[in-house]
Amino acid sequence: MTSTGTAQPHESAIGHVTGRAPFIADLPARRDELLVGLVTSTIASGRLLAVHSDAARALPGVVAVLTAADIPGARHFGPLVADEPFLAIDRVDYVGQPLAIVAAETEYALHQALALVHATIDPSAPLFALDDAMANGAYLTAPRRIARGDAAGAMARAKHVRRGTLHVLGQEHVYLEPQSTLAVPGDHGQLDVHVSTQGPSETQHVVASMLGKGLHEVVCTVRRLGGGFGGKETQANLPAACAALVAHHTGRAARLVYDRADDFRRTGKRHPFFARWTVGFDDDGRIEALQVELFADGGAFTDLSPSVMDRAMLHVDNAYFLEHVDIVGQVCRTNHAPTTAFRGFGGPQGVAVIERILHDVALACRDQRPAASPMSLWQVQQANVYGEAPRNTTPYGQVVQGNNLPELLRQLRHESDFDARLSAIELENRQPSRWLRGIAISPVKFGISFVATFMNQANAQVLVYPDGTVQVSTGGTEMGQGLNTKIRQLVADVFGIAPVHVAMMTTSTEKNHNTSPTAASASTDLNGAAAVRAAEIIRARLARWALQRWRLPHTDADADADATNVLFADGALRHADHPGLSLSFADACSAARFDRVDLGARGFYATPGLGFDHDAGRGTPFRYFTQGAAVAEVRVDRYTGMVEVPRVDLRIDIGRSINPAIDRGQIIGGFVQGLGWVTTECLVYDHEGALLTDSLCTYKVPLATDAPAEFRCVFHETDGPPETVARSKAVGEPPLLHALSVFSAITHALSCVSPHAARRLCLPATAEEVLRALSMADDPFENETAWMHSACAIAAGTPQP
Amino acid sequence: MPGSPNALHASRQHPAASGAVTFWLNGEQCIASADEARQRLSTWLRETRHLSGTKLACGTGDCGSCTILLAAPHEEPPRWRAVNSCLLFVHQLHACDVRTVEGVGGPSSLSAVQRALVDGHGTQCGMCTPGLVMSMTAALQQPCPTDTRWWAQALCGNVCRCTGYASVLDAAVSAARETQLTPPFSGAWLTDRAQLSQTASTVEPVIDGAEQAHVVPHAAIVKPTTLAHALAHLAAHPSSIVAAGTTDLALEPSVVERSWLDLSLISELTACETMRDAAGAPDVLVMGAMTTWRTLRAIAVQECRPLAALLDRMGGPQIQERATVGGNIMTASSIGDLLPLLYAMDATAEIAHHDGLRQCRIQELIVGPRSAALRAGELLTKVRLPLPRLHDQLVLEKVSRRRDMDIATVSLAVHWRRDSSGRLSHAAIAAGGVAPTVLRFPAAEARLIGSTGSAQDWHDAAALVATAAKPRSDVRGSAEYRRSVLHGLIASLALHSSEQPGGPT
Repeated sequence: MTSTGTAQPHESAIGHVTGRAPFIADLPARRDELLVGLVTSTIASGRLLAVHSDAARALPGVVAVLTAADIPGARHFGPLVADEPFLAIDRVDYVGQPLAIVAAETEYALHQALALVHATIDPSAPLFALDDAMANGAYLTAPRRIARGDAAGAMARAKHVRRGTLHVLGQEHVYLEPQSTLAVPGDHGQLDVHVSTQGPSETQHVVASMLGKGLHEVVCTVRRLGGGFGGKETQANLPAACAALVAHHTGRAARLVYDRADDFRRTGKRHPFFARWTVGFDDDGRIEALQVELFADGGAFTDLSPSVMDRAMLHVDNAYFLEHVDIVGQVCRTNHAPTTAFRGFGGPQGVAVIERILHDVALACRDQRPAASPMSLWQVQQANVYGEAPRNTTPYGQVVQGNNLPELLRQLRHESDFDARLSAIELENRQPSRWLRGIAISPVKFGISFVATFMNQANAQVLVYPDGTVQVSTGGTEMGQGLNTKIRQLVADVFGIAPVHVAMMTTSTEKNHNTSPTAASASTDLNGAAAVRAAEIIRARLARWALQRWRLPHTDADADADATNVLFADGALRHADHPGLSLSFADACSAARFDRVDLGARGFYATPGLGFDHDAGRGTPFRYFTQGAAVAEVRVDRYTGMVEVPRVDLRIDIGRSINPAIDRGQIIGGFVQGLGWVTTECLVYDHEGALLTDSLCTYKVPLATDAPAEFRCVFHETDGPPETVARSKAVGEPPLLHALSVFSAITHALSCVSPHAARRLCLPATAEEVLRALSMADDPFENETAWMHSACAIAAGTPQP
Repeated sequence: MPGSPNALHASRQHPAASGAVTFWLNGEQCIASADEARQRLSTWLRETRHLSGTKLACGTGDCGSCTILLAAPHEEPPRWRAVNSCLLFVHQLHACDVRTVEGVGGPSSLSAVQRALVDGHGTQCGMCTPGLVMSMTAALQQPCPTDTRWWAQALCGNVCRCTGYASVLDAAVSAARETQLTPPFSGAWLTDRAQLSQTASTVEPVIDGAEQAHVVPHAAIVKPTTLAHALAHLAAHPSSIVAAGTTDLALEPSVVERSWLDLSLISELTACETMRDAAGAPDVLVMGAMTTWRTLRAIAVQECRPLAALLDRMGGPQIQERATVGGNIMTASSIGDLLPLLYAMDATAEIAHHDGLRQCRIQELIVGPRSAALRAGELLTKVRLPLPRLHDQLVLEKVSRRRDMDIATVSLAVHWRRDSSGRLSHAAIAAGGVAPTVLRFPAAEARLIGSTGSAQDWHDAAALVATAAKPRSDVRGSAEYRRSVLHGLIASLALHSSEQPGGPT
């Protein structure tokens, strides 16, 4: 019996339900522990002239007030470009930017002191809107391009040409556990940093560089995260470094846990995007030429923005073959907190853009056709979906291997009764009613691997004990996604033992170093493969040892071949050809130890075959594609704009699932998180650049009553890619993109009123946004600039009392 | 930061002293020190009692991660209420029985709910899980339906960012099946009820003098058991904070150090019943000021369906257990959910002073944003809501960014009646979120009265309302949006006879 492929419970489930699985904030206070808080800027842009902290320092119970001058090592950090100051140095660039760190012995002293630290700032004109940044030439990156064919020439030849734009706003992660760090001084000037980070190695690097220490002097430890979603990939580094600086200066343990409002105001979010395009197409809606410009709001510093833009550009094709295409992307600099990784990492924005383009094409075709044979979005999608060669090569030159999209769409269309529901809904929408309904099908093709090739590596440590139990450590972090549960199953199956005999150990850089963050959906692919390799090394040693013990003839040359005759299953070792020869796994481990067999190993995995040339915009950035499609149905209230989602059908190809229950949780969880992004989650800033939606009271994430009332989720049965661990496919990010089916269904509902309303809808489709778009039903827009200024301009004032 | 655990142990060995905050936590008696009494319950549980299973994720009652169970004295039959521990202070627990997740089941003694969540893959990161366990446990004191939509509503006070809720709802359904086979666990769980009641009654209300008050050096915390005592105290200490369910008040940091008059043990204020008039006057729903939204909903299901539907969307279950009718009125917010209804139906308030009673219309009581016209020493005790008659139309709308657990962007109540000729003999329109206070719209009402209620009539009324409204833009919506929603909803009422009222269902 293998456990891979079965619905094993989450390895921490019992700890979760009893409240006994601790997060950083739950760890008992140490006697010497200091509480840490940050003083942050209330000004979005300006010269920092002074930070006044004498009054705070003088308070009883306050142990340290630290500014940039107290940083012994590097004062800037960043995963790609070290341009972000830990603490503001000579200027401030966003509201919420840390200026000083306060460490105190009590909560009371800490809050008193935080209120007493003041900064003198000479304000300058901030940039908040993407179009302002574009107009001012404020960019964090040079433009990048992915192009194929002759887009300009094909455009000139195309029968129909339309232009369009789409605004996509940001999203806050709302991991339920806020950013948290406990830094503890160790031996020999070392520092132990317990931190809720997705990237322990990166946090280790950032802390060491700030403190001017060697990497061997900093250990980062992560037991679990209370959610990450990309928001703790780089964003955990700043609070971790601040706590570490206090521990460094005071020699005492230091804990920094953001409260929710602080977390909202200080941390980066999903990138807002503005896209504009020109599309050329034929009478059947087949795209002949496409020129797209993408602009992302990168916030004040670089963070991961260039990589996010890469992935957005690499997903503008989504499921569609674009023969003549020119995609340009550039990241703008604004005075917001640096935007960052968030589940999908630019992919959702890229896919949102192409899906809107197809809507526009369908609407244009509809207008030009007789009413008897209207053109639907579905037909346009069909006309453009990736197919056989040559229509199976991406704009960046990678062939879409294992293209399941046409078959998957065919099955989904059938099982969701899509055609009949579409007709019924369009008919019903002609009746006068409060409710407007919409339905849409949206495919998703999501590339798996880090686009930065070097990051596609992982190591794992496996320790086998004489009682036959096993400990596994990897560089992957468990943040709820079930990584540890899957690895536990994979390792248990290597040894043929029950998962309960395998323990997943705390992630720590002193066991697994030089690791990549748990991100890009690739953590099981990478860490799982590394753990399996480590376990296989030990299994091979045990097998050779067993052959000796059973006194079976074998030669050194054939040792490996002979060893494969030793089967590990059902908690025992058996010889394939001699059923009488068997030994329990525990007995084998115990005896092998006496025979001085090494029962520990380290495995290493590097994804083969990857390479992407940024300058040329060509290469093979992905190992494979996770593919799927969803049909969403919505009901829109014409008078209030409120939206509900009565039904979703989703079919997804994730290869052979290692744990179907965990994968189902990832799929539905990702979808509902995406549902929030496209509907109710709306970040509102005031005119000074301060975030007004800084609590769960004003920032509305989906509740159980917002999730689709009926959710049919089907795994598309395939053999899976032969080269991945257990033939599984990554599942972390792609489901979020499937929520674009909801946005598409809302767009469809509006298009039943007017094509102009549909074309005006920005993302998220909040109730207010839906009503705004509906109010423009009679108003075709062609003036792009005016449109850019009107879109999503939420005028914020003081709250209603 | 942590108080002294030793002191706490010492005090626990003594019987409940008069004038001290005494309660039971996971079956163990606790007497809170003066410092502890003013701590936020979630903080006290985590830092003083090291019960870190109660998670703190938002601190504003919006996520449910800190949900605990609270059983009040005197309530028969006894019942656990799921409440947000971040919206309570320790002194509010006086004479109550409290359970945290640690008191529900441990690793080797999982409860049915915990087992269902493990087996049903209802946990991912685990941060929201203890709160979900508590909400599900509270719901399952009675046999629960086994359909997921019912459970979605029952758990809408708990945010989960990982699962998308499907596995959680499936686990709840499976736990509901399980617990229908075995008795629900309410009675067996409770600490000795007699002891609770005795504690509640033996701590006499403190009329004056901080030394006698339980606990606090500068400011008294008083929890009387009779209205007379409360009024006497208020007359002597008119600046006391009057605390009801504290779902809103607890968010104000300044309240911690003030004097408190806590009304929660006064049973006179929780009565809620319908007065019927044989002479043909409308039935009147008389609501004690401390009537919780949950209690009101149970009555509204029988008496006023649109109100029941509105109450479903007022907070999640944890808020509905605590929030009160009086609290919603006295907050005097333009977006108080009950106010448009009370304005439209010309509801009246009964206001008590220890010298006597007075009555006034709700709209006379609320004089400005967050400002109610109570005189020193006065207390809102009752609200009389005339109910719509058999053939009346009552439409209540709440427009918010999210359907549940949200604050209204715009709220609306429209009540009208037709005479035998089919013309409108009565019309009342009230709206919230469109001006500094809730408004009535007399010009629009006048336009409708005497009309046939045609599409044009409603359209004209909508235009008059939209003109009279003075909305402002804020984080929940722009002025234009508010005006446009208001106009659209009223203009649509011509269609009303053919469609169901209420928001999206």
